[in-house]
Amino acid sequence: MNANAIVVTSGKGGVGKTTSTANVGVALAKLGDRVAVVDTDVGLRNLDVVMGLEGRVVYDLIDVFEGRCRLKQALIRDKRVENLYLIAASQTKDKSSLSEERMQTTVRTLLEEEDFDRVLIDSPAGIEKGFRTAASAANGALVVVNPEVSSVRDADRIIGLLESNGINEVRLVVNRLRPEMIKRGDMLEVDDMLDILGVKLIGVVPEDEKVLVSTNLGSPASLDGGVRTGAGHAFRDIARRIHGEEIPYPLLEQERGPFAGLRRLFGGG
Amino acid sequence: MKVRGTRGGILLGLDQRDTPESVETALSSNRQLLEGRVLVEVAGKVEYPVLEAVANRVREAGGELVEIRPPAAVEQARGETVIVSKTVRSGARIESSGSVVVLGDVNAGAELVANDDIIVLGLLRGVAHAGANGNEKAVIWAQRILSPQLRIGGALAQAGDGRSEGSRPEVALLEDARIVVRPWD
Repeated sequence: MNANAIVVTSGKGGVGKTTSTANVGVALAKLGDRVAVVDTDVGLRNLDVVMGLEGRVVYDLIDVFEGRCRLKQALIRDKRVENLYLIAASQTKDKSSLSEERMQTTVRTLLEEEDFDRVLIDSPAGIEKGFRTAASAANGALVVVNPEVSSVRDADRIIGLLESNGINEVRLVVNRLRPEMIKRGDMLEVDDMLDILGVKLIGVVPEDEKVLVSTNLGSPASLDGGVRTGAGHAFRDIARRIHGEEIPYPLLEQERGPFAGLRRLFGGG
Repeated sequence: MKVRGTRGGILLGLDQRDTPESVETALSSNRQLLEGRVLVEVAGKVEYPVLEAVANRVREAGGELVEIRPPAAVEQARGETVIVSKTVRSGARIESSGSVVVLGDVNAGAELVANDDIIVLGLLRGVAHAGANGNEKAVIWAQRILSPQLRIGGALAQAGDGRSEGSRPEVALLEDARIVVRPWD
């Protein structure tokens, strides 16, 4: 992706935006990028928790917006990964100072003056002010979707809004895939989702209880690679694809099977 | 047959339902109408004997058959066609005082409303309302119609279970005030 300010969004809540932001952020930093992850879910912050940085939050995004601190002071450095920084959302302060203009200034400063290679912006659920603020500063987007009808519907809405905001580099992250359910026909297939949404795929992340455990521990799964088919590895693949690498999708090959290409060619599949 | 007085004379409107007998019956009881200038409008296929019957009656009555023509186009003010050159996504609503043409899919959760036709070159999964101002000739055409709800004029149809799984384009139109969806060929 050419975008250096990437909003992670979904419309629907609970599909894995924050987990994806944390894990892709870690994985990008491990590839050598200088990365800032910014939590814009003011009032319900949890990116700091997922990243295990909760205890170190002193200043947050609202403090920056309202001039109570300098941007540098709100940047929390992750000690486990070099070049990874977090700006937390405020859990208690009034979110009336959220503004698109301040968000744009903040992200621009991070990229131009603080020398970050990429800024990942964790968007709140919904399509209201929080989402609009998060998206206003982005030039690319990761749309997180679960293989279920309502999630796809919301993702479609979000993609429309992103496009009308001039964000054209929109990529799809299919999260919580359960290949055995797709085999039984109980879940939407990735190819069906791509047909409906008409955007490029950048990651297929399996349902993986390790993610739950690592989220609770505040230690993102992509910190250590784990098995090839695990979620941690899938998030690392996303980071590499953001860097432009061509990487096969092990889960998708499983889903499609060896003859799927032929089946699709003949109008089946 | 319809009979109407116009500035140019008496206008007889014929269509495919008219036969020489029905025309004779209708005209013999209204002889005095045919004493002046007579114009004939032919809407659709009309057999020659029907025209001959009309011509004979006019001559008998002493009138003059001055013109045979297709029906004057009932030109309705047509609205502007709205062309959308990409997929219409959930939450979007496209309206038109004329027709709507979508060069892509219409996804579930999107809504199209047109006073005339709706034409979707991709799949139609959203709600479509053609003929929204009461135009009952409006149609909905799509590569596949997969909508939960269609409306044409004042009629409404909800998706049934017996939806065809064919891959041919489909068209929805009004027949006897009910919406029917059929393969288009």
